[in-house]
Amino acid sequence: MNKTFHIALREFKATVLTKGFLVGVLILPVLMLGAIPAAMLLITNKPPAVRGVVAVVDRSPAATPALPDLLASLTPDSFARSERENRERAARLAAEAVESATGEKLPPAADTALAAVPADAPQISVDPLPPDTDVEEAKASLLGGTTFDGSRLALLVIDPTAVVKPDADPAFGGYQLFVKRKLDARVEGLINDLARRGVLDARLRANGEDPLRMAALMSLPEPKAVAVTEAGDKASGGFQQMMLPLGFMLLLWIAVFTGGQYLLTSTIEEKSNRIMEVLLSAVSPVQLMTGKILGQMSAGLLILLLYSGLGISSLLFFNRSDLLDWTNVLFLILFFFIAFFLIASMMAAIGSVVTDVHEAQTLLTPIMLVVMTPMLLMMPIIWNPKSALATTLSFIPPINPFVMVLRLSSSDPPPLWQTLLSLAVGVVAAYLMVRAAAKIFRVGVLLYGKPPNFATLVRWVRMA
Amino acid sequence: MPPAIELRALTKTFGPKRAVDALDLVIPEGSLHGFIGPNGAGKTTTIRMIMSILFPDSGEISVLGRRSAVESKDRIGYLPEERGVYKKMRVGPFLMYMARLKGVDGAGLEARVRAWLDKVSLPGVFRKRCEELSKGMQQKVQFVAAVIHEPDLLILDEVFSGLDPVNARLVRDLIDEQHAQGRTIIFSTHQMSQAEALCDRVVMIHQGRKVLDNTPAEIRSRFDPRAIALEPADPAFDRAALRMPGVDSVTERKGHVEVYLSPRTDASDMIPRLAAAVPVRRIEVIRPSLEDVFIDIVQSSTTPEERELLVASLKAPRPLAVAAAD
Repeated sequence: MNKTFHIALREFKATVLTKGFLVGVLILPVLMLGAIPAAMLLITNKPPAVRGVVAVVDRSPAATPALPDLLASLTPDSFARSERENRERAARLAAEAVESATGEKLPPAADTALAAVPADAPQISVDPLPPDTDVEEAKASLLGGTTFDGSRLALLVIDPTAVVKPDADPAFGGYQLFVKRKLDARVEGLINDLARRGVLDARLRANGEDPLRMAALMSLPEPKAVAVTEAGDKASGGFQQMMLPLGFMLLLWIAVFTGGQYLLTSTIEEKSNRIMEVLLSAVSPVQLMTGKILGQMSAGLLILLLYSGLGISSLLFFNRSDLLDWTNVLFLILFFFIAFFLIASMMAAIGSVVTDVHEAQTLLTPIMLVVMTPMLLMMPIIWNPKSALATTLSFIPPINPFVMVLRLSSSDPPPLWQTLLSLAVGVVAAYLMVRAAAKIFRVGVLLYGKPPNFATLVRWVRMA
Repeated sequence: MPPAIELRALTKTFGPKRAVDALDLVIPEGSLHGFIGPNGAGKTTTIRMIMSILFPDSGEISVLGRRSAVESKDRIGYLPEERGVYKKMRVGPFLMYMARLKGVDGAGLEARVRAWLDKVSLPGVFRKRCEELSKGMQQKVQFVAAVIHEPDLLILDEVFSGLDPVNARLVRDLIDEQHAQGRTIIFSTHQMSQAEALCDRVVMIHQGRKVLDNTPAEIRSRFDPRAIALEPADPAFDRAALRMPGVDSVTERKGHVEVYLSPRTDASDMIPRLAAAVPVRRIEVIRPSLEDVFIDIVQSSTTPEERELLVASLKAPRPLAVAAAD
């Protein structure tokens, strides 16, 4: 036990007291926080505005043309206004998300900054074409040129029944929109929105309605839901319902795979440095592997405690402790141990049978595909934490710790028996995995040359 | 006194290859044993089984009175052929770590490490990273790692490989010193001169089997001297005079002549007769070196029939040299 402790201690120190670890685990998050304002500055550095012409072929009846309303709708002012509305909507959503997570209102300056983020409004003019224009010929003018040189950007072709329809027709017609291939999707959306608004206005006018009055009648601001909690009313919404499970699982993922990755590389290093046999003259392979796993687990646990401590401190600072369930934190730690033993055993086994990282990649790929499953299925599990899929995956090692952490921190956590059963399954799986890895480790650790394939590894496990 | 190591019918197979084949070996406590043999003979596999790093397919092992080295790892010092260091680790902490893994701890550990570094002429490297040392210096650090816990049994696999003559002499002196302190030492080597100079006893392994197990002097004596070297006083000596009964062939070398005797001819009888036939400045029996024995055994067992003969001869009371000459 004493020897295992010394191996674990060396492994921990050799990992944690390196520049790579300090930069990657401690300094990188700080740098990322610092990078956000820099990114905002870069984003506000606006690209050149889109400039060009939208051609309109109005085939609606002469008595009820769409063109006047389209000309009224597709004005430079309308483009600028729509652009501003879009920015404001994005800024509002971002502010709501921040408020929902932290309980803090973004200052007005931030609102302004976010609203001013996108490029200048596009400078677009309308070019009405005769109704009998050959569309194919008109489309040809969309080829070539750029979206900044003032050339034709889009062609709108209004259907004859877009404004008024014969009684026999079940529905109104619409319009076709042809655009230059390189046109910004955002500008394309603006043209589409304004053209649609113009046609609808023409349709309302043809039916004797005032479009402005109708717009006022249809306007209804969407209220922001308020969650009623023991600590008072809080901003509600799906943000924390999504971010909390995501945060918990990413935390577990980072802690487990950082330690696992270090374990893999340190085992490979010991093999390639030819120190393995020296170590095995002092300790047994199982002692060596156990010590290495415990050492790297301590490094992973340090990351977990550090990051979760930061997260908890932030929640407490922003007075959102209601989002925190301490039972979930306990389960997070328990599932961390299980996940780590499962993943680390595999890493140690693979590290013991290869002589460099490239060889390890071949054996790691299928394992990584399996353990990536919770990442790939994260959204379905978060949206429906009690689905058959989520429940089934909760009992399948080695992914069950990740799935359970997602479910536990979701808005609809699983029943306690499922959590306990998943823990039990995880403990048994971790025990079996450590035993199998120890057998592979014992055989593979002195093996040089061509690495074995999976079939050979299975044979070693069965025969050792 | 129980032997330090006892192997009984030890066998290890890797796929179709039998690396160690029914090996019996007894190494008395306090002896200095040389373990020699060509590449792939099974030396390292045997050592790894003694160390419980590999496990035998069959046979029995006793190490320091225990059934496995696992139970007495802290009493064994091991320098494997495939050896290395933690490149990024500093020399002092590395040696202290290795000592702790061997059960040595406490306040005096750093002083012990520093003393050993001084002893192997590496003062001032305590705080240096291992990667900053030359290969020879690293080997000396590895040697210290093997002996830092003052083991009862020291197993050194190819300890001299890669060492320059000065460091080889230093390590040889250290081995002598360890032996003088009563430790049992086994070392495998290709350098027969080292084995000859150091060992109480030499064990030769060939194709997984023991083909020789004796003291260097006995090994030499068991090989009948089959040649006499003489240096004629007159360069224009009478060559025909050497062709006498009992002489098989005569070969002139630079500065001397080698006279090869026919079987059953006693070299001590032949020396006065040859000296009488040709005036000489010097005349002596050519005694085989361990290297000659080594090469002779390896070359003489190149076919399965010869190998069987060789092994049979080792089991018979007659010494190896007779069987090899058959």
